[in-house]
Amino acid sequence: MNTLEQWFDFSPNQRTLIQRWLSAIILIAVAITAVYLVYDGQRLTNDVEYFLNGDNFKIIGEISNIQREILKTQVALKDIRILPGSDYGNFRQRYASAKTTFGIIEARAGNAENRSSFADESLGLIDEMTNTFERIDALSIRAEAAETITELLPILREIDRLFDTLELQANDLYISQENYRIGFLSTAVDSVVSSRIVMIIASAVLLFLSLAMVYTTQRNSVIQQEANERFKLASAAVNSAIYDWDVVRNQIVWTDGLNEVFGYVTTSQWVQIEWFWGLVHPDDLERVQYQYQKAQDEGGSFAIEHRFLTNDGVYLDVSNRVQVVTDTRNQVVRMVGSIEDITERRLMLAYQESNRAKNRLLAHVSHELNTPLSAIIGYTEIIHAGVYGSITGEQKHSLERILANARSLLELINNLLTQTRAEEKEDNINLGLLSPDDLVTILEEAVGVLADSKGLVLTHEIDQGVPQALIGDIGQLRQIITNLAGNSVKFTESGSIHMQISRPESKFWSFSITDTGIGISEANQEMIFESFTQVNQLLEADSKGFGLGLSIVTQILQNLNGRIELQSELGKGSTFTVTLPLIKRMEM
Amino acid sequence: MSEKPLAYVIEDNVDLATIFVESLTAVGYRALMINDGAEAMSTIFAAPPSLIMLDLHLPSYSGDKILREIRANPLTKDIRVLVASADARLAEEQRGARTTILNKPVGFMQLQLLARRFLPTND
Repeated sequence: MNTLEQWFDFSPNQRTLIQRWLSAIILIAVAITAVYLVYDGQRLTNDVEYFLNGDNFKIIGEISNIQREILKTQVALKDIRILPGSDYGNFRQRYASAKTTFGIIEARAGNAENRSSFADESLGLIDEMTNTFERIDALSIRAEAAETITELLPILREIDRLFDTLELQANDLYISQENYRIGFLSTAVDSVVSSRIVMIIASAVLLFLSLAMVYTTQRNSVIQQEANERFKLASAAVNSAIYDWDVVRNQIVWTDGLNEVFGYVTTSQWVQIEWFWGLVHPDDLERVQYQYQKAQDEGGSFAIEHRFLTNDGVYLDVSNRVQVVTDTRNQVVRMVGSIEDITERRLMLAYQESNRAKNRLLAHVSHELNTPLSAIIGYTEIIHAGVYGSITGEQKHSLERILANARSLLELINNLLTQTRAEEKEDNINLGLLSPDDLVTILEEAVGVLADSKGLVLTHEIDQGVPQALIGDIGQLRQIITNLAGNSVKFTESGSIHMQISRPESKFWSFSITDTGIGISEANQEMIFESFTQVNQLLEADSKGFGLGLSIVTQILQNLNGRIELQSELGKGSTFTVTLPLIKRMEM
Repeated sequence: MSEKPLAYVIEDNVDLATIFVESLTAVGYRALMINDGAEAMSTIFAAPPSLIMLDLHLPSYSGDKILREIRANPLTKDIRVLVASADARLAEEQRGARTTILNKPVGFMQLQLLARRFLPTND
């Protein structure tokens, strides 16, 4: 088994060579077949021509002549026997004619060149007939010499009997030659037919082989093309160049990625490995070569990061992944690898890390600012409420300005805190069971007191069809409701804040918060969801901007696969509708 | 004059605790400040109040543990507890009967409006 595999363990180059030789052999075989077919056709033509026009055919005619002459001679002989002495002349003439006719065949059979036209049996028969003719000759002399009729008659009877023999022998000769002729023809036809069958089969096999060869070559080239294309696309997609290093010849070939990523012209030609070493940063070279050597000794695969020279003369950070390829004898024959430009990835990682650090800092600072600011606001409220003694109108006004500014600052800080938290992946989703009533409770907790103080009514309605057990992140939902309802209360001076919980589609549920406040102009409707755009407005003392609140809601909803819609008209209030996927318990 | 309802403010930040105490006092509670979790536990069981303002982030004795113990004891399980936290998620996990979740910061005025609702005469 192992030996067999070794036999067929060809390198790509060997394969190409074998394919070329096979093609040549097939071509030669096709040529030989064609020549043979022409030759074979000629042979059949010759045989048929010979059969129709050759000696063989003439001999048959001559034998018929002999038979006829023998018959005529026999008739002449009968005349003599019936009327003895009546006409010897006629008999003599006939007999001479028969002998002459036979002489032609005899002469032909005696000729070495023509003997092949006779069957062996025929030659024997001709000898016998010669013998018979000689005996008739002898008897004829005796008959001519006979004095009396009684002496003559037995001789004539004997001659007549010999003629019968002669006739039988002539018949046998005819049959023998006819058989020989037919045998010759059928042998010729048989040989032609069988050789034709062999040729047809051979041609079919050759044709099949040729087609298979053409198809395989074609297909290989298509597959090769597709593979090359795939290779090219893949290497471009992953920002890599892929190479194949033939360890035996110490040469290396590259994909087009080398061109696209590193700016080198690739020609699909094998180049010496030294060229590759020249591109590795000199300070990394020893380390890289050591890894290659180690892999060559131990097999397997490895990945190494090093610097790699581009055609622009700049060194890029690359990740070089190498797979060692061994043959069946476990010898390392090739090393296939990819060199990926990881500069972008490094920058991205660095950016992500710094962004995380920024978020952590923001969260920390926000949290730390929160408490003292709450204290400032709280104490100011206490003094403002007159708990620590009565205050003048001017003091009261000043305290109100302190409160307004401090509250703006607090809101900004809290929103920043929430925003950074929402951006942090680890703080994302924490699913749990909740009921529609929980949302109403959250609304009440979030803005109930404030709404009360402004004389606003909180109402709610839960549509039929909303499941009693919803699955969601209640902490995130609280954040959304707090922000949305907080805005509603802030911008509504009279009327109501209404929460509607419904199930607009089978796989979604939604809640909306509707106020009877000042509404949002169409121009502002899109802008208010954008992050940070309103920070400046928020910092303006008199502004009641939406601040970061809505951008936080958008951010959270992205994490929850939800969406938010706004319907509003200036002076008539706003409705924010949040739609979320209805997650079944099984999917938790 | 009837006895004022008792309220405990369990909060380690003295400034915030002061503000909450003032707020509860303003609406008619007899409010006491407790800055330490362990002390809070002993005080609550010794003299159960009608309202507790509980910060979840206490240094030694965590707020959620205090809440569990309050709910586990028949003497104290029906006390109205206002849970204050800056962490909405953590606060949400404490949700239960007679528990109100407040997102920090909680203001002086806001707590007044809320606490007024829970005065025993309004129950």
